[in-house]
Amino acid sequence: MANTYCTATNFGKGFFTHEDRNDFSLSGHAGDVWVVGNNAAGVSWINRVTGTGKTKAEAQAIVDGKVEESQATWDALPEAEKAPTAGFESLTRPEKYILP
Amino acid sequence: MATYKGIKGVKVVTKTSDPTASEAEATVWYNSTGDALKYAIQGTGAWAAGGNMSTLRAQDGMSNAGTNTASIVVGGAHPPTYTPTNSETYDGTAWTEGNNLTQGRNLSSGAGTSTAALVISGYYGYLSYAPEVESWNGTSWSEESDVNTARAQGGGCGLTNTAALLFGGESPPHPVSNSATESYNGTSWTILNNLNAGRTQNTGSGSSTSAMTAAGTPSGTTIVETWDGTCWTEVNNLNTGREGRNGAGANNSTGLVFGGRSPYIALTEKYDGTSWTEVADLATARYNGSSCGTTGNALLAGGNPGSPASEGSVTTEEWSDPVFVIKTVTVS
Repeated sequence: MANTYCTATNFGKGFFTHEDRNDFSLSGHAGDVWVVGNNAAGVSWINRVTGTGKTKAEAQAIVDGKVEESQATWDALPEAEKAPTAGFESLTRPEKYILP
Repeated sequence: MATYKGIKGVKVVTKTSDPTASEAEATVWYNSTGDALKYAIQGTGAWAAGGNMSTLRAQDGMSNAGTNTASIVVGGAHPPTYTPTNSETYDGTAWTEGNNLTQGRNLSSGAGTSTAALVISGYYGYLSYAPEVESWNGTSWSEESDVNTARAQGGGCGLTNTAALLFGGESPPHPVSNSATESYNGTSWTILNNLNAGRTQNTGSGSSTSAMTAAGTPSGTTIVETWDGTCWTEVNNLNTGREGRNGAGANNSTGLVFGGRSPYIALTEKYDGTSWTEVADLATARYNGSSCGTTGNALLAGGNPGSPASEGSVTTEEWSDPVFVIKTVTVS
């Protein structure tokens, strides 16, 4: 398995270092979900930041829940702010996506 | 048996503590405290977590000539709440709240350093354009001359609060993306030659006499232009088009562009004076944070991570290139 999954709160400086980024892949997602390269350095990082291990399905469910919250927030915006403008990037309704 | 001294001409030095990785690059030493043989190498550029800000921000402004150890961030938005007025300065470890802007704003442009900065134009709030400029002297903000064309989401750059450049951005009536360029000399703004491609949500990096702008919208463009003090010239395109104003660079021959949308991306590209090369990704894809620095040392603060949409972030990422790392020799 190329990736492993956890939740961890980004506490700021030192949460992940330049060396970490050279040693394993890492990407952050909504709900404090982190997709971590599944090697010794990645597993060590999860322990270092006191991450809570998740299965991919559990991690995906957390992200999906956050996206749904975000969709509700977006739906409540005034219509003028949601209106697309030809040729321009506008605020867009958040969409669910599949974690790597 | 070959020895280290035989190969390198020097003995492995014993040290009680590790040197810094950059000092020790390409050397080997024995750490007597940890009982480990170690070496340092030069790795590729990478993003690391920086200190978290105290205020959740997206669409914030920053001193573009700051560094990842000295910068200032101001204003921003957390829709539907717009235009916080507070500023925070960063020392490479932590953010410290400073005096407030007089006029809160979001999607402003910026120039200068953590001790001599400008916050330029922007929105007062949704589609309300601010012509005002404020100058930071390291302690407080003061009102300066207004820009000629009020705009938001434009590119800005400059090394100090008395030498800045403003280009592109969105001007009324919404959504006109303009190509206008203005420079500031510490007293007034002067209209200069336009961008070739009008756009908004474009990056700004460099100085008032040697600058770069990349990306932007319409259409999440790949177009890049460089400024030589007189006019803009189109150079090679980015590999991946995007909007979002996250960029860094010291002049018109070096540049770094990172993140953006749509979709929300973590991709980072580096310009060597000729072409763009994709390098290491951000840890968190985001757009419309604020950024500063150079291709060797940059900072991205806040921004919209895409999901949850409309929210900002307190997190920051620091770019270093190259990265020096210490490794331990494992004997099996």
